[in-house]
Amino acid sequence: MTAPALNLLRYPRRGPVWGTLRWRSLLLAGLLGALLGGFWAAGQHWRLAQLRAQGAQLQMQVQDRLRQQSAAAALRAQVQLQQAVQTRAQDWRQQQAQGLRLHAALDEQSHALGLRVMRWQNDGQQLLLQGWLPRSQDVPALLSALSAAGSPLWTVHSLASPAAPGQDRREAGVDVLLQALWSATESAAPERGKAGP
Amino acid sequence: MQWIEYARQRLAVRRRRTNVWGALLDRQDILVAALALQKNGAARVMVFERQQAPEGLVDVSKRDDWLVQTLRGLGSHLPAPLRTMALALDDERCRQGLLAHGGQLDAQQLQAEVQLEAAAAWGVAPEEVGFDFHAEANAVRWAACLREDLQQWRGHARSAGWQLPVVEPSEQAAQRAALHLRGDSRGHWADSPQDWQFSPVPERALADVDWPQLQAGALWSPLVACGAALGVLL
Repeated sequence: MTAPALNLLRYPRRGPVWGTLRWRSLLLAGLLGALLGGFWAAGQHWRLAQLRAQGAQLQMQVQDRLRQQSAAAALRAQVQLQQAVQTRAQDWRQQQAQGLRLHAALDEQSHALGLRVMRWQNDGQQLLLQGWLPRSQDVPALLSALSAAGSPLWTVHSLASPAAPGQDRREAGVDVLLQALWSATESAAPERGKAGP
Repeated sequence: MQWIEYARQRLAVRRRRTNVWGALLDRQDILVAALALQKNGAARVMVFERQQAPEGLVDVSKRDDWLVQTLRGLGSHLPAPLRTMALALDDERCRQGLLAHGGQLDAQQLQAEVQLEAAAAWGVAPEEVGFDFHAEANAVRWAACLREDLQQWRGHARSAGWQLPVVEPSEQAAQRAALHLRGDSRGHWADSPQDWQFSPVPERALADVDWPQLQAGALWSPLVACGAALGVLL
């Protein structure tokens, strides 16, 4: 049998012209798609690089801003610390000057009025001065002299006669307990301490 | 694309089949023959069966189910690569003809002319026929069947696990078998088909066979089934 065998599954099939057109169309579409995809990928790559550079720049700006904020905070803290130190030093100087004036006044009154300082206490809020005067009528003079020395306003807390029954004392006199309150400004940085006569 | 066809042919040569089934599909039965290729190049009938559909099976869908079940049963013991079947169609399902032409048509025009001729023969639209043709001197010999039937048979074969590479007219299959059948006497042909052997080259010429008598006889259907399988083997 020389004739080729018939197979009914062979036709219809796509003709070569249609197939060529189809393959050409597919090839063209593929090339076009690859071209567009390449352009898109290149654009995305360029965009990504741009965004990365922008991100790095922003990151640097953020770091600079953080450094500036940290430096400003440190400077503020330093200024506050300096102000606190200055305030404290000023209080110290004021109290030291008041203390010197008070000591000078006490020394002067000890010579003028015969004052004997028994106890002197400064707890930061008030001053207590316990002393002895030969004459009870010198108490107002003592108060005015201490107040004139620049110390806080002094008041009499208590007066007592040291002469007790059965006690032998050659001198008459009065035990006086004086009190002075530091002002609000002065009490901001109080000095705590005790001193004896 | 020519290179695709070439590659397909090369692959087909490399995967040359050694066992192929042929079938003749009738309305109520299916005649199947399995041929195996021998080492000497001859083909020998290994299986020859006629599967009869149950009586009263007139519903098309039920008949299709029976056909699928039959095909599945035939190939159940075979590995998948050996489940290859060629189908031959009788005149009721396949129409043939000669189309005269002046030899001036190219292949595309010839294909279109044949498709139109086949569609006219079936009385359907051109896209509803499956066909094939080969050109002779001043005419084209063509054969066609309904494409719906083709898709149905391919679907049945696929669902039953079979490959269906060839669907051809029964005359073509019978001629192939008759020309390649070994034995020089009609009496020898009358032996059981299970004893048939086919040579790789034709044993006789077309003119040596009395085709009308052969077609009217009982050997026609076995020749068709064996010829269909032989067409894939050779």
